[in-house]
Amino acid sequence: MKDCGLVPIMVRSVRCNLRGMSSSELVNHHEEAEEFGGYFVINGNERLIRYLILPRRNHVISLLRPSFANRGPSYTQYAVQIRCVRPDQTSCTNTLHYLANGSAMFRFSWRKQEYVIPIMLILKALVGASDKEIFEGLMMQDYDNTFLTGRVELLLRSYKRFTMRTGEQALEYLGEKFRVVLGLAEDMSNSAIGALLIRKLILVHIENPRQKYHLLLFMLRKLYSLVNGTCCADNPDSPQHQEVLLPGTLYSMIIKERLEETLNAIRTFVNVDVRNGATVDFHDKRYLAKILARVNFDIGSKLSNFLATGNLVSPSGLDLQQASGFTIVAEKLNWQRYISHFRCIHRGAFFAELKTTTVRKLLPEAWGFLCPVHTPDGSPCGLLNHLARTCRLVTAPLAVAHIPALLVKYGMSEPFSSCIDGRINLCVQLDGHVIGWASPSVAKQLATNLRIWKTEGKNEIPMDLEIGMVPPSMGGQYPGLFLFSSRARMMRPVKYLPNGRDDSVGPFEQVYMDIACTPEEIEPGVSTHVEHNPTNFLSILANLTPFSDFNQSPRNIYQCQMGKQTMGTPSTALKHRTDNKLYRLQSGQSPVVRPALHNTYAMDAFPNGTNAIVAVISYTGYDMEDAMILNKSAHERGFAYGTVYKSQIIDLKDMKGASKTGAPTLHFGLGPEIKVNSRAENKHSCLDFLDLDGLPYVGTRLSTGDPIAAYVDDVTRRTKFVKYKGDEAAFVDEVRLIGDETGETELQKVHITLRITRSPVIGDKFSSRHGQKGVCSQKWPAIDMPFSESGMQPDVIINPHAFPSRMTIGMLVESMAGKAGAMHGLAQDATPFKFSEEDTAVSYFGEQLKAAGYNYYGNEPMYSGITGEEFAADIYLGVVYYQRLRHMVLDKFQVRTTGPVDPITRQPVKGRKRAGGIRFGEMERDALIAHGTSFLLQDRLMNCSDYSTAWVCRTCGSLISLGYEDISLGEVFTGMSSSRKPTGPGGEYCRTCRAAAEQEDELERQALATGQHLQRPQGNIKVAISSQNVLGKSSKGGDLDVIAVPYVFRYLCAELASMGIAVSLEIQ
Amino acid sequence: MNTNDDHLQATNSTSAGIPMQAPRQDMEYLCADCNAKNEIRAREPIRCRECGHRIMYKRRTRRMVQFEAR
Amino acid sequence: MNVNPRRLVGIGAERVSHVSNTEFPGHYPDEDHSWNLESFKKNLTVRTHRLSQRSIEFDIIGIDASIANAFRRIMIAEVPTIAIDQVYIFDNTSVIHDEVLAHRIGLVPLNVDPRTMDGWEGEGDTPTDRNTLEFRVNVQCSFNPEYNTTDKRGKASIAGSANQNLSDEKLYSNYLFSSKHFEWNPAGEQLDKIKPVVLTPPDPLYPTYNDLKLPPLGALNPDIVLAKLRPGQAVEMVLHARKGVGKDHAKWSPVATASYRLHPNIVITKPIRMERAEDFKACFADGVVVVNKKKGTVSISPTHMRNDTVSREVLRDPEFRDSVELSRIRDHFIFEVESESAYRPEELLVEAIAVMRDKIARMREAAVALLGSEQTDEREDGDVLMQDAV
Repeated sequence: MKDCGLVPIMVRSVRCNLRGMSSSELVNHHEEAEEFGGYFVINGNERLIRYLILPRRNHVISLLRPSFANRGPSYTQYAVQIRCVRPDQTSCTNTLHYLANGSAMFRFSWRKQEYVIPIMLILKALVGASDKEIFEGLMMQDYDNTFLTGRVELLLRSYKRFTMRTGEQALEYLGEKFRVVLGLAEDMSNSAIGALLIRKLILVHIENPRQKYHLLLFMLRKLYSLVNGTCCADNPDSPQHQEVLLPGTLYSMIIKERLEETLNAIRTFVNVDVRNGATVDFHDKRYLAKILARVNFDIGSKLSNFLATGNLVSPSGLDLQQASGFTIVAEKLNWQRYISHFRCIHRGAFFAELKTTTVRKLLPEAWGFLCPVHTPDGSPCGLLNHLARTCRLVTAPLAVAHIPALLVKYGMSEPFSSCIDGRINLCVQLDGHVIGWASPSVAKQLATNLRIWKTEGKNEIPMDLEIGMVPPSMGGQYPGLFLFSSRARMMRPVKYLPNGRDDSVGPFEQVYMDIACTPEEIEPGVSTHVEHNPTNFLSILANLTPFSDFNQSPRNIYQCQMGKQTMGTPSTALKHRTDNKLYRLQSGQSPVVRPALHNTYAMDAFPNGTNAIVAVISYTGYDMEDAMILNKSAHERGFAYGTVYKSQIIDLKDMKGASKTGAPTLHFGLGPEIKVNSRAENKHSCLDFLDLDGLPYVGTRLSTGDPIAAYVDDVTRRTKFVKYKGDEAAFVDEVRLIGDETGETELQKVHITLRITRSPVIGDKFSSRHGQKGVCSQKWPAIDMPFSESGMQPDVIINPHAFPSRMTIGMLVESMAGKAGAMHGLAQDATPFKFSEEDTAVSYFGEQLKAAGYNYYGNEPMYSGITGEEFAADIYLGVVYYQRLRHMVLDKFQVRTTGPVDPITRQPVKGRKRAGGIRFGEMERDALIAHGTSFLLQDRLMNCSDYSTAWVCRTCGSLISLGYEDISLGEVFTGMSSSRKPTGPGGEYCRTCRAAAEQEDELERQALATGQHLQRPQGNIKVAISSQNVLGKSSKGGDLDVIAVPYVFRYLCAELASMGIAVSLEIQ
Repeated sequence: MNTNDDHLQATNSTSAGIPMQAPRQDMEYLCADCNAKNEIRAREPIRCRECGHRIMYKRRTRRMVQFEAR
Repeated sequence: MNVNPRRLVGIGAERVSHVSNTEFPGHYPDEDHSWNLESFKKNLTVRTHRLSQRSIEFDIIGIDASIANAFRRIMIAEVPTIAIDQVYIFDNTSVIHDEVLAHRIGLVPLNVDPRTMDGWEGEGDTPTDRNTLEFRVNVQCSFNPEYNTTDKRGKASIAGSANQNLSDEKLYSNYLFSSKHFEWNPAGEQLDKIKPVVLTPPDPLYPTYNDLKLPPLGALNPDIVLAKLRPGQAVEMVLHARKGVGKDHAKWSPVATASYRLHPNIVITKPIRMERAEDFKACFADGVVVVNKKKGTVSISPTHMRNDTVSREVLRDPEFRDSVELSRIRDHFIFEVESESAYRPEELLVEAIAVMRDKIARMREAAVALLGSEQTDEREDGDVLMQDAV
């Protein structure tokens, strides 16, 4: 027995403590009543493995990639590829490349290394087929096809150089070549290794070599057909050829590989022992124990690490295109964001770097599977998609073993029959196994039969069987009847028209179907299916946008983004949550106007906004440019009042002075020097915040620098305080004492939830549910707000200019519907596609408004709150559900007058956190220059930045050669005046000029002494210098001036000097 | 000097050698799992007497906090 | 009813015209529109149209929009009321956070007549019995022993499965912290001087108080839920109520709404076909159009005309569009005021006028001071020294 560590368990999975609990049981366990699990709890974070798009398994797709031609000599752009999946859900991708000489190369990868084998070698090795057999299998009686005969002949000819005739020879050859690579036991024979290679790496979804052979022949035929132009290349970016990497599959693949790695490690140790001549006795328990002790068995920690980082550490790469980014945190910012994590599906990190945008395109094949609306804008646009509402992933294998026999009964030919005409017969495949052949009409009949059987539950055909009938076409997709029963496929429910039953369709078959969106759209004789609901193609979030069919489509995309950034209700078990940061709207409401699915998904349990009375009017100018005016009285009554919860963990183990081993030396509490019972005036200031246990009182208000906890150090026996560092006032909401895992040691770790109140202020961001975001620019008192005939005052004023260019008619309809709903006490249904040109939304809600005594079009005469007179125009007034977004000025404002500066450049530092400045960049500089405001420029770039004064030598122009002569001591100049070296008034002098002058003096003195004339170096160049720039000899480095320079310039001079470049300034 | 000080301290400490200052008071905490009241002295392990849970909530104590009703 | 067209504000399908009064001096040649007390007195009418327990509808005719608007603004923002302003929380284990609970409490209207108290002077003022009322709250929720059992360890739970679905009211005592839990703590001479406002006749909306002769001093409505509690949760606090005005905070606003509208004026210019008389009637509020089937006439009821909501539905009909003229009377203000305070609704206009008079008096004082300083300080240029003006 060996313990492999603790594997993280998915919440609410069969191994979870919460499995199968009812809502009330969950609440008793301090969980969310609607907890649905599906994530892992790692280090206190909720992390989940996200769905990734993979190529469809067990299906041959033809590829046309120019880059294939660069793989080697005579390689072409043509290839067919199949991603084969073993029963344990691990996969292996095989590619068949077409070579210019007509033959093909089979490619696979093993431990991230790629290998190619001539296809003939594999065909031979698989079943030992004769040349005749291969020829017949490829030709399929299509002898007139000279293109095909030519290629097959070349293919067969190319094998002649191997001089191997039997399958056994081919196997031995393969085994010999791959013996080292595969790293198998040394006593295995070559042919055994060859067989193993074929079993483990070639068409691994099939066990039987004969069936592998049949599929290989099919692949070759498809490849030749692609080259020939009789079929087109498949689009790997289309959902038709895609499936999903299921989290469970990935998780089990990692476990499997870790186990294999562990076993390999054991083998390596044994091998080493054998090689070193140590006694290896497998009957000796001690020896086994010794070996096992040397191997790392902790698979649990590896999995935790995978979940915590999302990084895949794998020698084989698991046939995946990326090694990181597999897991994400399920942020509970609000309920919408939370649930969309569980429906998001990523194309793969590899595609994010692609320059081309083809992978991001919204394809018609995605209809009903991936939501066209719910994708972020910006860099992950089109790569990070969300599953449509009704899209389901098949997670259980289906019972399909009886299908081949059933199909044979209904007219399909068996696969092994030798004389099938490939021209008139289509291949029938089930999960990548060739199960037979049938003529197009028979195949079509089989497909129809299967569909009727599966919808009616006859012949035990499972509902989730995908029946992809690709009819023969002129240069279209390669024809055949392809059946899929495997897991990880996307499926969605629709109604099958011939029998009116529910059907489940997949993206492969959907392409060849005619699915009407509404019953009215059914075309007799053409439509095969009809949607259950026209909104089924939208994701959950996109479905929650009211009247989204009235909006311009990008606005719906924006709403899907903003719905996820809303300050809403993240959870109903807030007291028990310890998230780093949570946003909560205290006054959330259920929207008056909501799509039917709002109720289906019980969104009312997690309100995300407030019903606001909105007037569309240009009032006082404070609503320009997407700004909005709030009613101050509404604000005072709690409109959009929010709270932010922040966590602070105080772990004494991480503090300075903590002992890493043994008994703790730091203890929460107050030391003896803090007199608890002293009188009020002598009381230690920390007692206003801290209890006797050194922890803050629940409910205390904290400002910056207040103590949040106190602990005593055994060594110094002093009390130390942990300070509250935030810059906003916070309340202590909850204090959790966290005991250690054994429950033996004393308190070392505390978790404190702080509550920060966030009443809406000017600068906070709000949005309606139609991608109409705006910033609060002013809070007008209620008396200044306009009022309507009935005395209503708007909570929110927005500018009419927000509408014409954005065309969010949905918001206007919502406004009307909300007003009518509020007057009549109705929750209005805002499901899209409910109205038509004949039955318009305006007339529907207009009639309701009329019945309530309002204007049919939702306009109202209003009175100015300031003048008391009526406005000359009618104002559009209604009820719109407003969301408060989490972007708030209090988190973002950045101001400074003076503050920290960079030590090197003495310029202000950057960054809001460090109280830095905002860069006044080149373009801003250009603007000021263009504007002619030179004083402002001087002020910004010099006076408010790194203004400094510096001495500069008038003689040499150097900034960096300043020296000081200490004359402050009041030296008495007794000697001759010439002995006193020249300096400025403060004793400053230029070191270079003085040195040069002294050297010159010295030379002159020597010349005088030796009686020689000083030979000055004579240059050819003569420069005319104005007399005022020629310094008298008397200066000798003492002529300096003070100038104002940016400090960074001085630094530049010093840096240049270090490279041997002198900077000389000319002073005028 | 310092060591001497430590020694003095050790004379009135417990056998475990932890320099003790007399625990000032029992503090009452609430178990995060079963909500039972637990009196835990300073430097005692954090563990619920009822259910063995190892996370406690600090109780709200009667202290005045002033708010503007706005 | 014929109204001088100069008094009318025109109404179109989507726009409004002639919004401002034009009768001011110099606008019309050879007409004198200078302000005149006698004609103002003659034209001014104030009429109460409807008065109920909590709301009033009255007309003011013959004033300018600026005056009417001033009354409206003062009623909302400057008539003082009493509201809880300071909350001293000693304990609050309810699910509502301290500051949110304090905010909710602040919004509760109190039944204290503001005229019996002094105002709060701001930052430096000290609470006295003249300017502050103290309330105490102490609510503790517990299991109702009738339906609950207590185990050996003292942990209570609901007894039996039959009781699981009982209402909260039965299972727990004090499961609601509501506005009736405010207990007045009289100080000084408050007991003699401050009496709760009694609503006569009893208000059916507030059943709790109807049995009492004199309700306790506290919330106007005792059934406002402030927080829900569960056993073990408690709220204990001291509340200080002060006098304030709505412009400081909406909680001091005495009205739920105070607004006005202009009196609608509907004139039928062409006869309406009898076949479509009912359609025409449906375009207006109830009672506005009178159809006399015998005489075959369609007319506008002058008394019910005011009820029209100005939905302009009639202008949507191509047939009616040209046979009716919609307008409003510019100086006929229909006020609707809902009191949500200790004031009876009819008192609010009076209070507003008092506030306004007070303001005018202060203005006058300042003007007189200005004038006085000008006279005493005989400067040649006639300028006033700023420090002399009060």
